[in-house]
Amino acid sequence: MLRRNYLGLGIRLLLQHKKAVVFFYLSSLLVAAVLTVPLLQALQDSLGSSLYRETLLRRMDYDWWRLFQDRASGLVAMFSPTVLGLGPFAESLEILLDRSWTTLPRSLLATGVLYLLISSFFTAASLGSFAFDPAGTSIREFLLQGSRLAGRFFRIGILALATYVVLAAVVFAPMGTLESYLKQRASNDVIAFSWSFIRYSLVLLILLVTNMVFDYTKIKSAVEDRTSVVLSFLSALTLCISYFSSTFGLYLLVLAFGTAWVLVYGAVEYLIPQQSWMGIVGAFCWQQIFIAGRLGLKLLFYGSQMQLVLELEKPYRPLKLRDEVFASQSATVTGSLREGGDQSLQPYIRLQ
Amino acid sequence: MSISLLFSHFLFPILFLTQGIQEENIPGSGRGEALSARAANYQIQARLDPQARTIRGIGVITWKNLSNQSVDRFYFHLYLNAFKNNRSTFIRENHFDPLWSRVREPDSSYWGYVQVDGVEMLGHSMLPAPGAVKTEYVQPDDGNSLDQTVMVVRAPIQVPPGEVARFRIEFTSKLPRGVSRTGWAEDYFFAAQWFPKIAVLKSDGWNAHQYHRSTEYFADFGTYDVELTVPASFVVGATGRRVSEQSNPDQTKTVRYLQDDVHDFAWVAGSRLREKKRHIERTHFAPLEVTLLLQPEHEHLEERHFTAIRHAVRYFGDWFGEYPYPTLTVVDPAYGSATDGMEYPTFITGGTHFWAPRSVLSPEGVTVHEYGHQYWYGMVANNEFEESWLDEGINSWAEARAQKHAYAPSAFLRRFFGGIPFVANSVRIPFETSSLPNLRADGTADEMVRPGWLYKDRASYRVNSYYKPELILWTLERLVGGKRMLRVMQTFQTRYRFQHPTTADFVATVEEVLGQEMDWFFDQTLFSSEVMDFSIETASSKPLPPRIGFFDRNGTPSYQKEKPAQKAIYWTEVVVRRLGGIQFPVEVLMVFENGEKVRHRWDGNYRWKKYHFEKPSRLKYAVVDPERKLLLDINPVNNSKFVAGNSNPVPAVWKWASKWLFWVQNLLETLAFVA
Repeated sequence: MLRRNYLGLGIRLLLQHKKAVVFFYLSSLLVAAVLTVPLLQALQDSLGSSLYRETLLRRMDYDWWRLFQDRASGLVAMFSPTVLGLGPFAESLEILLDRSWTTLPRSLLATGVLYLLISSFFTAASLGSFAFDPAGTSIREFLLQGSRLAGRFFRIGILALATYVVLAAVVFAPMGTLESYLKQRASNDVIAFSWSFIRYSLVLLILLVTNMVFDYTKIKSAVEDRTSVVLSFLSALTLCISYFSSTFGLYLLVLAFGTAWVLVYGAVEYLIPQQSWMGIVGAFCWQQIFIAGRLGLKLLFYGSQMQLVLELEKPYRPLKLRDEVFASQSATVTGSLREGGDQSLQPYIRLQ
Repeated sequence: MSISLLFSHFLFPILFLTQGIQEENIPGSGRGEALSARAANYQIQARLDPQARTIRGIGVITWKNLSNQSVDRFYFHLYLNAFKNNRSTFIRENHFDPLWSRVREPDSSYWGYVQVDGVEMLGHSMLPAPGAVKTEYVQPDDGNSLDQTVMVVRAPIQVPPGEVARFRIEFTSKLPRGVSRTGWAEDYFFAAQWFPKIAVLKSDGWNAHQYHRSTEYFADFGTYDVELTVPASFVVGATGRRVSEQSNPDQTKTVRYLQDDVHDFAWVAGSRLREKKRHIERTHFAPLEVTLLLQPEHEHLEERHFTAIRHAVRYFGDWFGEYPYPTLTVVDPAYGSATDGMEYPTFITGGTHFWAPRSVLSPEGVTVHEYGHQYWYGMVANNEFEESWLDEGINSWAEARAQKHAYAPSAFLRRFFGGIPFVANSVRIPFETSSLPNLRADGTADEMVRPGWLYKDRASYRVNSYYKPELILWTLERLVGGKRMLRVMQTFQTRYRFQHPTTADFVATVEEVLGQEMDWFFDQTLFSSEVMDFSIETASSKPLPPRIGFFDRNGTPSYQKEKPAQKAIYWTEVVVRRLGGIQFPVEVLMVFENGEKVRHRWDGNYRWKKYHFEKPSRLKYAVVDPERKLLLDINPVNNSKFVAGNSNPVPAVWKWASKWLFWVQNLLETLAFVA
């Protein structure tokens, strides 16, 4: 099957589970809002009664920003012109690749952990729903799926984090040392930059592959109802190695969609005049549409990956999201799930 | 034995012996009108050994005693010895960190020194015969006996005022790995402060200082006639104009540079440099020959370099008089050589990144700055050891001024992933106030005018040499006006060209040109560690209550109770505060909702001033220093205040908070990637 077909199936699956996007989005908004309150207060203190509020409505004023930064501490001190345009993407990616998240303010780290937990729960709920209720669920069922799978997903999350930490210590840190060594001996800045670029690219590639394996770990854990995290991981690893071109190809395809979405965001955001309430609200809405889209893309990816797993894994037949599936079989299954709980889960996978 | 060793040990001395020092080339002998006193003149023959990274040289220094005292001790700077070991004053002041930041334990190739192999005092009427002299190292500033950056030569005779002394010095300079303005990087060799350099004799004795972490240089003007022998494949650039170039049989070439009326000589040689030449027309002189030595990976930035130089030549020429030398050489330094952003007479270094967005002024900023040093340091040659602000501060102001006329302000830049530029074009860094954060951070550590090595730390040195004086001069310009300011600086430049002025000379020039005593200004800025911070502490406006109580009517208390007026009269109160130590007179502007503006001038002496008004309109806002003349004010945000109740909700707050929210959402989602 072509990768775009998996994507198509993923899209259809996602459309049946729009509420998953809503849950993800609301958790993103609420957690981020908690971290916005201190900045809001600091901005109010700085700009609330100063003439600079007129200037700042038009543009970021360098003098003001530097003063604001000088006076700020902790999380708020991270506020900079990189909030503009494509800055948020570049900065967050660099934090990830440079392992500098350990130096982030504690409030941000703590909230980040909270977000990971929430995100893990909703991932569990989404994948559970995708697997067992492809035609859609009620909110209650969605949350039930989350609570049923959350434990193992948390464990997968911890394993993924541990893997990241090990990679950071064993692979990325020596790569950073090597990069410094090579840059020091570089004869010009193009070569020096190339070493950096290569290092960042390799780190990104390793993270992508690792992330992909853990995505499949989650999917397999949900689809095959595996409780052993390690076995799920090994099974996913085997799958990824056995079908690397398919799995990674699909990954790169979605990554390309994500990159395109970022560029579209940047272009549209640039065009929105933000010097009045209407413009500010418009830009905010566009930002939130982007975030919802980004989260939707993530779920679409999970859906597509799930289709790929079911296609590739012989013991299990792929979920076919044809109309008749939704109309008849899955409806039956959904019904049985509602009535019988877990007993209907395994049969559904072998439904076809 | 390698060929290079063979050459350096045997052939090189023989070559020198056979060539000798050509006496007819002694400077000051008729090559045009002397612009300076030409007290220290150098004739040097030097040879670069790229394998050993050494320069072997023989120099004849012709020095004229311009003081009113006889001397038999002569002080020489051996700046390169700052990098001889980790006990030099330079490295000690850097907390024993040798500055090669990426190397934990630099090997012997990293360290550098200048070894004086021999000193002779050449024929003098009072000398019985050319004689060897005694030398010793001295440490006039800190007594660090391991510092060898100042050498004293004891001569057997006294050299009276007006007389000339000649020294022949043989030396070997081992260049360090590029560090703090000098050294090598691969096959790039930047030789600065590479030869024994005689100090300045003033009326109160020799002015010689050790090389410190936070000091630059001071020397007399003179003529430099330098022959450099380098590998034939190397491109060379240096102070002055190239007067000859000849190929040698040993795959080397010898290039000769000559320049009158300068006080230093630096040069660069390397195989990767790309030489570009242009000429810039001048009014009173022949076209200026500009040589740009670019790194090959920066060739696409050639035009930007030349445009920057063209702007600089134009604006500095218009404002401070034309650049009088025939040549200017601009070096784009090698990566990691630590020789970027430096000035030498007629020879400067820039520095840029191959990925250089147009809206960010790099390489323009550094190029204009270093060119500006031809005026402030080059021609007006203050003592950089003792009063670094006179060149760095004045030049920072002049450079920013020139850039302001030539370019739009630079956009905010941050590089991600080792070099990919993120440019926020809507965020522009103002030329005048880009230094304010530094002043805020370190402005109170020291009084500004102070010897460089006596500042509390390097941050304080930088603030007091660059940032604070720049802001002082911008403030002065805004107070007296652009034309008068230029007249001041023109006068200072013209009067002290090819001399060594001091801060006192500067202050006297300002007072003379402005026709007023300026102690009130300079005492609080140049000679103070106080900062300036004016603020509007409160601004309120409320309706006057109806009259009630006893009011005199025909001299008799009479009870009155007014009805509320249909058109309210507002009682407005504004409190202006002086939070910093600097007491400057300042304007205060009150703007009312009906458009009325009231302006007052406050002397700024006491800590606060309260203003009251009864007007038929509410106050909208109050602002102190509304035209922002006082750029020294470290906190411009508290200079204004809207009346309470007039400020909610603030769209700007929500605008930036929403962007931050989005930033956080993306960061969280990216971090979620790992789990």
